[in-house]
Amino acid sequence: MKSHKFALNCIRALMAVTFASGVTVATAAPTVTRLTPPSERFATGVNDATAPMIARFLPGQRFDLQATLRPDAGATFTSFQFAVDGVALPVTASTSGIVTTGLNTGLIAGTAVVSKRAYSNNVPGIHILTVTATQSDGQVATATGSFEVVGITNQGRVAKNIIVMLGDGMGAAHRTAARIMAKGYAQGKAKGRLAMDTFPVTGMVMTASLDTIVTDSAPGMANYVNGNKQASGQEGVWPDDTVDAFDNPRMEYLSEYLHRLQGKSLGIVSTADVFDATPAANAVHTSNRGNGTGIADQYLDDSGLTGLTVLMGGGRKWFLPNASNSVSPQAANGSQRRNANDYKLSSDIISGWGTAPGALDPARDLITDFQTAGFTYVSDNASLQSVGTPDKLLGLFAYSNMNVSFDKINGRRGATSIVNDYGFPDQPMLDEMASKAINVLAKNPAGFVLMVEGASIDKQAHNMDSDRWIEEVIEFDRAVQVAKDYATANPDTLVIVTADHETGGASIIGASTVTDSVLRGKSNTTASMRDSVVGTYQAAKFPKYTIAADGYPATTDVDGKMLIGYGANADRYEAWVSNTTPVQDSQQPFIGSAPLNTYPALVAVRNSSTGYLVTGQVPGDTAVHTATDIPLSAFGRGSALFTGLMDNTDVFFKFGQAAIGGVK
Amino acid sequence: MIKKINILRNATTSAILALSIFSVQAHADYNFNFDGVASGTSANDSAVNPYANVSFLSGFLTADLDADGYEILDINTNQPIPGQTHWEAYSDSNIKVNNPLSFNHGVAPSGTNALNALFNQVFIKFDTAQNLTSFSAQLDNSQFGIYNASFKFLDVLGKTLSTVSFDSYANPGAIITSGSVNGVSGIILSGGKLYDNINIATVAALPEPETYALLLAGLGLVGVASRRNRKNT
Repeated sequence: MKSHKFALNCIRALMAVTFASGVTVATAAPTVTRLTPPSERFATGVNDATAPMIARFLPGQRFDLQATLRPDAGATFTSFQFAVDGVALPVTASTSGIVTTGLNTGLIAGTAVVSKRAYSNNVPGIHILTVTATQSDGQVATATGSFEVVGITNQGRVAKNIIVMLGDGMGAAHRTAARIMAKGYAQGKAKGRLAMDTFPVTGMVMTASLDTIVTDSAPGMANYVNGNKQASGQEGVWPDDTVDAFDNPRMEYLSEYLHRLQGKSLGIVSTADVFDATPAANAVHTSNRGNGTGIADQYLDDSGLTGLTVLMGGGRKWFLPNASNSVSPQAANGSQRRNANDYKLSSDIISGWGTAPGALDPARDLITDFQTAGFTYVSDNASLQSVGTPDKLLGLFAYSNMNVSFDKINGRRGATSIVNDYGFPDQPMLDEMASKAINVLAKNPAGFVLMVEGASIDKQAHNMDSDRWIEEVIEFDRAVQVAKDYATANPDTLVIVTADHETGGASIIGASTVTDSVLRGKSNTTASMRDSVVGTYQAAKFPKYTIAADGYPATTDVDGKMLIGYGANADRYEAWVSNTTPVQDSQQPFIGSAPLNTYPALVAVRNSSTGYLVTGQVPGDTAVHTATDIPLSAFGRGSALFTGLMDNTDVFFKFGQAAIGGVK
Repeated sequence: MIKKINILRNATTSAILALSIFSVQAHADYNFNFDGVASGTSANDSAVNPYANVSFLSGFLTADLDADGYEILDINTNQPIPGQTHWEAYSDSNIKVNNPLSFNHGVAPSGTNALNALFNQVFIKFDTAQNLTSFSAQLDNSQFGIYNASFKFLDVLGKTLSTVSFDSYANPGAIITSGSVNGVSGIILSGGKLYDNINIATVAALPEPETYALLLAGLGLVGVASRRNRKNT
């Protein structure tokens, strides 16, 4: 008790010094302008029992409490106190933060952002959160919010392993298109099923984020794995009123929770740059999904919290040292590490969460640091296949996003040299990465959490490059088969296949009514390339593709090929035939140099001489995400939980039930 | 005289025999330290569990059945309704004893092994209902566990008679105990932990009236035989 009083006095003294600023004149009541975790109760001021609970947690799941305090002009705050269900929480100096500088613009002088880090509550039910702050003139600001702890029923065998197969942007149309291409239809029936089609349980997911019906990938992924709504561009945190993108109030991820409670390992595999939103939203806490240097550093620095054991994908540019701290000119080794997107944490986060402090260190050799921490590093498919089964594995197969399967397969076939243009001719396919990841993770007798992302389903749907995203779904589905095979052999494993959102408003509108050679001879007019090509309804028939021995279509440019339209499209020129090259990927460090700078710079100019103009409904250069519900399929232990229509945050609590309380 | 003594001895022996059977039932203790076998041995191996009337199984919470034999489920959630559930036991080859170290759960509280309930709700099943005078089990020494763990004592229908709740995450190595519970046919140990040094002390269930009648009749016969022998002598 003495120590608590001492800490409280210390904080009061600190606040008094910090806020000392002239004469205090009370002109209005001080207020609490933000109370985190977010709640309808705080936002509306109404205690509506029927309102949905915004913030929910598993028993003991850690999260930050935070409030933004707005003083009267010229006044300061001298103390603050959080309480849950009327019981005051100790204000411990080491884990309580007070920020009065570096605030967002528009906040008046003396505004304070106060935090209590890494709080947790074990008692299921709805809890009342209050914050009380005393201004220097004695006036008190107070606010009330609420959160819920969702109970777990201990009821049976648990899912020892959880595998999340995340097809980024993969809506129902994407799955259907891949089935038509990979399996074919005849006489009205699919001649085969995708691996994800064979999962016995299917549900639908509502994908909205904290601040919009149309989510981006950061909250789209994070909402699944920490049970809370995050805002656009944010992962593992709630919004705050400070500029620092790494000091936002946090909530514990599934990986961190199950590593802390059960000692499970975490694996992250993606075809994207590993700093990208989806992979990062399993382990990294930041309000800016673009902060690549800090994101890459946190993977390693906080691997003791997340249990990170496997990390594979692209993104080498964040792991190579950049002594110049600049990308202009681009460092010859491809590094894009910079102070501007690195991280350094405040002491209350470090003490509360037990994190590493972080540092602004563009010259850091992160690959070497991973190796020092026990990770085996592989840089191409050959080394991936020959590495055996190390205890920990880091695989970085490209500077940034990996090439898509369309180009990787054509590279393996010797048909094109796109992968050579990128400088990475020997990149693994997603199923090869997933297989290795599972082998490594399975060494942990306590189990694992693995997220495998088919990233460029989304990226190529943004680009409205239909052939590329359909093949990307096929590649993803081959990885799904790997996961299913493992869960079949190890029935204590749960596998779900889903997406973070739908991309493009993709629709299978029909099929070409002409041969490929005829199509290539069409002029770029609407009459020629649309009216005499697009076969709808009965005219679409059943497009037929040939699958080569490598498991991918021999060509996507078949006679009578399947045609895709987009309901969330920007302007594009549609020529229907496959694009020789992808459009430029701005994430690639050498995008400004040949040969990559010879690729179409924008979707809006691609095929401008060969395709007809399709005017888009959305501004900008690419198709966008949509708010459409997306399908979720489940297999293995606990799969029965994933049926019906669910919110994306519900998925987290189903994971918790399966992994801790078990299922019948 | 010798005959009398013999007869008395026979009668006494019969009575003692009868009482001794009752006495064994009255003070049965079941103690498990899970040691002396290799890690990975079945918890039902006789070297681990020498008691014929006790077995280690998997426990599942399941919905009660209605009069027609269908599960009673919440029509809105399709899930069992709290209070209308019971536990069922299933044999499970994965109920084993393991060295906690092999799961990074620290050294066993004693010996080398503990009962592995990491991935199961373990159901300790008695062939016949027991009156427990005490129950205790020791949590493994790791910092791993769950916040809302419990021991549940079940009746013959799998219904919960009583519950001891505890935090298996925050209390490494703790000995969790329960007082007396009557009519226990099974005990559920929450998953997420290894358990060591399980000690169960019981007394027999109070005999049914018929049992008393048979016992008294037997003692009466002993008394009649004794008097007859006295007359004869």
